[in-house]
Amino acid sequence: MTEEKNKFIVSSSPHLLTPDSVTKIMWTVVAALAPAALVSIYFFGFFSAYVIALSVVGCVVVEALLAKLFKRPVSIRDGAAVVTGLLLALNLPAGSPWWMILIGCLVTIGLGKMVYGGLGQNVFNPALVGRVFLLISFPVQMTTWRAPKALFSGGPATDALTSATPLGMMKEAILMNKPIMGDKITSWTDMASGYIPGSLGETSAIALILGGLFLLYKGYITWHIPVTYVGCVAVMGQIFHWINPALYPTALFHILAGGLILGALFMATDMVTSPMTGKGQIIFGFGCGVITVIIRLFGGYPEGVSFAILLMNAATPLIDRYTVPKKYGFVPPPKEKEAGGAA
Amino acid sequence: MKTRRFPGGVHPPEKKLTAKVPVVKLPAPEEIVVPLSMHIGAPAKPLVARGDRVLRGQAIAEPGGFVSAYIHSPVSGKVKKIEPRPHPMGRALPSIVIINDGLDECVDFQPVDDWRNAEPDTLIAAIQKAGIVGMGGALFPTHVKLKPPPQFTIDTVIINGVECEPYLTADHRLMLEQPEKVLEGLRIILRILGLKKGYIGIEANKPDAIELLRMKTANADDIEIVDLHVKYPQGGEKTLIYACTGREVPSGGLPMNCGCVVQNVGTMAAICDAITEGKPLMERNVTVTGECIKNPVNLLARIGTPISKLIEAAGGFTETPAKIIGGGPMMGMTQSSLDVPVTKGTSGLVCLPPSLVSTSDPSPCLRCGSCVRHCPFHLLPTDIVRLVKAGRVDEAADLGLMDCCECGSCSYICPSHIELLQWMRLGKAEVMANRKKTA
Amino acid sequence: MLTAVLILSLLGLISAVGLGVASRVFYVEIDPLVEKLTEVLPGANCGGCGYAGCAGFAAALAAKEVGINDCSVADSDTKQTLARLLGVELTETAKEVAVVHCKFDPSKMQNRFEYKGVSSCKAANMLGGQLDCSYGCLGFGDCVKACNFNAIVIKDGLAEVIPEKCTSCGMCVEACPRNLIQIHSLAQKVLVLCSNKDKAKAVSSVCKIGCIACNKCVKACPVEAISMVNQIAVIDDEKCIACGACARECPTNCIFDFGETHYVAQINDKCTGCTLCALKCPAGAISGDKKQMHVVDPKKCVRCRICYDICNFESIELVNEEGKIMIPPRPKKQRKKKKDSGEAA
Repeated sequence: MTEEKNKFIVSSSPHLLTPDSVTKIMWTVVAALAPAALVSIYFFGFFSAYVIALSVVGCVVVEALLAKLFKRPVSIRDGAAVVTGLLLALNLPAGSPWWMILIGCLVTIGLGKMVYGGLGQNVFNPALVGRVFLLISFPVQMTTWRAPKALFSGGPATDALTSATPLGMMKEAILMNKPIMGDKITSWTDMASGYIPGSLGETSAIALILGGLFLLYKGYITWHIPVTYVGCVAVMGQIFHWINPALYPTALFHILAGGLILGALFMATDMVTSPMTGKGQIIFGFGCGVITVIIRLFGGYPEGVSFAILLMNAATPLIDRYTVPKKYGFVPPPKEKEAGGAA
Repeated sequence: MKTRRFPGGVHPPEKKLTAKVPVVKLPAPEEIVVPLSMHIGAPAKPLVARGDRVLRGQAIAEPGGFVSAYIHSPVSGKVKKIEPRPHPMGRALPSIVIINDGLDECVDFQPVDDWRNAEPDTLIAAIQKAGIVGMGGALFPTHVKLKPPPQFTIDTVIINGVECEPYLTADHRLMLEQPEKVLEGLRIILRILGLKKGYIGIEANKPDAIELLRMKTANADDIEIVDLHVKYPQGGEKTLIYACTGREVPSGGLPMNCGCVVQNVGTMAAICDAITEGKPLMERNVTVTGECIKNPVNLLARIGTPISKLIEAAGGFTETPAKIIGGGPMMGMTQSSLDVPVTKGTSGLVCLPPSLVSTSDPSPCLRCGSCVRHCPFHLLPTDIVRLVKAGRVDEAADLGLMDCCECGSCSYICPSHIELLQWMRLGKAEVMANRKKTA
Repeated sequence: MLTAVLILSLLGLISAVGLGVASRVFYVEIDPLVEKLTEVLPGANCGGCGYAGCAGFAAALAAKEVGINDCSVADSDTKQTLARLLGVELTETAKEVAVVHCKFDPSKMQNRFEYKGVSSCKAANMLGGQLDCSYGCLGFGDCVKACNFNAIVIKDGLAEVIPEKCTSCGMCVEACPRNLIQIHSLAQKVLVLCSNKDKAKAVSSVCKIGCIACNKCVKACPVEAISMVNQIAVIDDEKCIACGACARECPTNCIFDFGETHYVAQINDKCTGCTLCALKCPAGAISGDKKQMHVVDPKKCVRCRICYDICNFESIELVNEEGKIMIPPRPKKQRKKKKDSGEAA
């Protein structure tokens, strides 16, 4: 064909499109996660930095290689793999072994995203698929926590390993039926600012909330899931605390401990794996909350956020099916429905 | 129950570059090309032949069916030929080509005497003879709309002064410069339908028009000006009805199913001209605008003027546009040639430069739900399009594909830039073809 | 431990019994003939027959609602097997293929606009189609997507059928929004490959190979097989003798002759004057008295080879413009069985 010189473009309307794009959304999420990443580097130093770097690079490379293998266009420039890599990193303990991180990248991108068909096709949150896989395959490495450097103490983070996270201590107490719970376990400021052991993203609630508010402002997440999820956990947690104050922690503990804030703001709200309508999102958040508290208090693991979100991801298509909004001008079909239709 | 807004919708940039530019009369060109299809329904049938002399205002084509319209010559001159010519709809369609003799010799215009006491049927006949169709772009023959079948009772008339499309200001200027015509036209409609009160809906981004019309109707209790929240597509008739009355047009139905009649302000002015002056529809306001136009302007152009003349009158291009849109950028049709004529529904010419036209390929669907949240009719564009792409159009129709009003909000808001609206249109065409096959 | 074993065994037993009962209660009677037929059928599930997949067609076959030849995909062997299974006689039909009636010159066809949007011919056609010619092939491949047999490809923006793979199921015919594809017998070698219904001036302004309805082909055809319908030449396949005269006459070369090269007939001195060739010649190009040597008028000869096939005296040879014998006379013994139309003795 001859080339198109000075020919007008003809296309279907609309001819103005939103300035948003997938690339913009992804890199905005990266920016929103940056405070939490930076705080984790502050507390854990090099041990955190290399986990983040390796995870991000690993995920990007795996996506590029698998895309080539599956003969699909390589679209790493849209930043989706970077977001997934960053989220995976925030789910790992500081100082995780390099080989574990790479296996995690392979499972996250390969099993969590590419086998489903790539961006937008996956059922489960890829970072959580990776995390849960690693947790089950390498339980020791995934629960070896490093001690964070003290706030404002100057000097680098130490190599020291430490005892369990606040949730770990809670679980131990429940299992042994020893009443060492309540506010006494850790100070609130420590938990909020991040000066507690845990995976990279679990620690600083403030940094995460800042990022979450930024995403809310941009309109890339809505309030439904975070508010419902955290609210449900808080309410359920508090109810159990009232039932047995010595054994079960308070609502505030539940909110600040573990990966709830990270999960509620960044993982459960993942567009691809969560319901599309507000009503559906509320159901989703509620379900996540219930499962999280049940696993935390009565399940085998101290942390239930990952499993809760994955289980609700599986329910998302069903939720979407049953929360279809009522059409404008909807006319209910006549009671005696004739089979078939026009065809 | 006025809500003054509707759920869903999007906020494209308003870009009303010509809101303060008064309408300028564009002189008639040497050659006028009047298409025979400028309305919904059967194309009109020519009443003249090659070589005939025609006068300004003379009927040159008559309705080709029940839903059809008269067409009148906007100039005096000689019919050069009747042949297919480029048409804004994309294909060449039969048109009457007239060579303008520059004299503007008119027929004897015959207004309706004392319309305030005339029979509604007389008024409707006069409107039909004047070839008036919906000038908001839908081009539905007005005389058919004003005589709904007897089983429908109309109790509300809403005049659409919303003009929610970005860039367009033709209706806005009409309301500012000829408010009496708009109001008179509405009163004529009220007389025809036997109603006591009518509404004019205007978006809040036209405060001067709202104020002016409110002032003119301050002491009248038969017209109420409703100011509406600025959102696209507030000017669609279904969302307009909802915002002004709270009623929903039933699926598969028309406004008359819920007792409403909606008309454009331009149609009102045309009706006023037809009844009070006997003038048929021969010209209309057209906004020539866009970042590629040197001097964006509102023009009063005769039907059949090639759009090249309008662009000339606006100072020409500052750079070659990537797209030339007939109508507004959200629902208008892109043109491939500057030879297409102005039709009864050409509300504007928006010339967009390459920098504002996105040509990137679509990304995969993220299931973000934006299209669902912003659809004014609460449809599920993402699922409907998925089904259409897979060839399962019957299931897509079950989800509401045929209720889509093609406003384009979903395509606009989609961050992956998926051509949702185009797929919906393809699906609709297939459903219609299937229905025809099995009928 | 024992409890666990007992419970699991019990569960297993319940499931087994349940499955057994279900397989009896919900058993669907399938006609074994329909099953056998389904196995034999090509299994492409192309829908060309109009039934829901090969199983649907098999059911219709068994119910005698359709004939074996209604499946255009099945090859000759398959059809024989089907005939055997059904216990019916099989009448062979000629192989048919799809033909795309557009063959513009890709280096010359212009676009009137740049199309951006869904890569589908239907979509582009809804916006008027990006080609200057409002009737031509848009090249986005709706037909390719519809074809279950990879028998149609897009080359240089034009759809082209691969006759060896085509099964004439008709899915491409439906898919083309401009109705460019038609089914023809494989034996139909001469085809008009233009679908532009506009008048001459409009056609030549957009495509040099378009049909301008000049009627030269109509005049050249010896059997009145070609006529002008809606400003395009249309060949009646039944009447056409594939002589190629129309293709040779066409000034814009929109008629394509896919047959072998045509040569003029020439009678040598072995002629016995049986007059059979003169009788059969559709162009009236052979003259001669009974028992006298006949002669072919090369100007009138349309090169259809009817006389060549008929002559049993090794008297007719086919020559080129210089008179060189390109194809020697047909040997006496190889009398071909005539089963195609137009040549019954």
